[in-house]
Amino acid sequence: MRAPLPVFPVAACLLFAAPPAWAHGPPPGIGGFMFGLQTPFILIEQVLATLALGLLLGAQPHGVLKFAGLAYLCALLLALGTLEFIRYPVRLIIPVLSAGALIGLWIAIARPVPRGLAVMIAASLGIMIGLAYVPPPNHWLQIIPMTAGAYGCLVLLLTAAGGVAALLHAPRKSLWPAVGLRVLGSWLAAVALFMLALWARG
Amino acid sequence: MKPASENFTSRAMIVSVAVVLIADALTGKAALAHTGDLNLHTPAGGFLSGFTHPLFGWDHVAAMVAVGLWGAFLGTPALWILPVVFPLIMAVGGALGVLGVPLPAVETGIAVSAVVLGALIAFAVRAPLWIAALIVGTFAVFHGHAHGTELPRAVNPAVYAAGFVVATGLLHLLGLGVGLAANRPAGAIAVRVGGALIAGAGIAFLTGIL
Repeated sequence: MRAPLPVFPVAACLLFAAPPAWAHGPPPGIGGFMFGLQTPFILIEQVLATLALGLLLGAQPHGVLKFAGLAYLCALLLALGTLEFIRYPVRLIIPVLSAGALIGLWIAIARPVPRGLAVMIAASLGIMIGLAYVPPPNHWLQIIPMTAGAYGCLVLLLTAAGGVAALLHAPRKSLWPAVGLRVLGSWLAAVALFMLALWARG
Repeated sequence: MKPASENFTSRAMIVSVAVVLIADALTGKAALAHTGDLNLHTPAGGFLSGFTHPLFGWDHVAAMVAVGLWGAFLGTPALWILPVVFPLIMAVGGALGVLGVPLPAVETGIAVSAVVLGALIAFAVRAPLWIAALIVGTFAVFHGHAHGTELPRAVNPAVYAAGFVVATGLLHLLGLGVGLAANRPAGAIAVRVGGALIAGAGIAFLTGIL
């Protein structure tokens, strides 16, 4: 049987490789897309919560993963789509961090999540995270790639974390992968708690 | 045959990574001869600062490894409960430190944690799970408080927190890995000797020798 392509090592090599030389400038909007890809890392609580959600959903049955994952993606898209009507970001730091901490704790105790609850959590997170984005007042041709980049980054984080959780949660003879998943959950919860304290300090 | 969830996430991962790579390749980049310094203002520098904070304190290192050793010695479920409980309670301690809540004798508490945990391993004490979690959790507050109060002002606190949480977890893992040697007769003796050394180091910290 052919060994699967090692996705992440190959991707890492390609990212560090020299980019191709172009006779003409990069396609319009691609810079905005790449900027959008980086913006979730400015609002670090969103990265934390999305990673936690991905780790939680990846360890759930396929039905829960599918519906909750779609709920997050649709809710995020819906929230990003309201940018036209709101001009000030609604950065819900405490709810997002609290959700990240609770999800991390749930991963640590490794209990199954009811489908309805998973969908509700995922949709709520998607809405809260999406509402935090307000693009700078530019033309729509610049706003769309930036927003698409931010959406793409969060999707990538969710799927990467979900993939890691699915790998660790798969039935094996050794208990170490399952222990590793619980420990990852506790780390995320710990960082979220610490960030909540920092926010409380001001 | 892989379960559906693995197939779904594998395909989603590959598509997502491909999108990022294509976009990255299309973006023009400057050629950089130097990478710049890893200072505290960069995320990488902040993470490194947090990551190295436990590692530069031998009292932290000794106690963290001891938690992993004791967890391995106690076996499941302590094997995963102790490395899960510790960072969570450590975060609470860190929060107290950040908020300026005073905690008496923090450094003494850290040194005592090495003494107590090392002694528990050296004497092969099989405590009930809830007592083990209580002991580990109590000491975690002191360790976390020290990390929180020593948070550098310039650093991004979130990545700093991620750094010291990851470093702590990796030290636990080191202790767990070594502790698995307890499954063999000679290994069991070696682990108990290791516990005694950790307890001795803790006494040295308390008395100021180290």
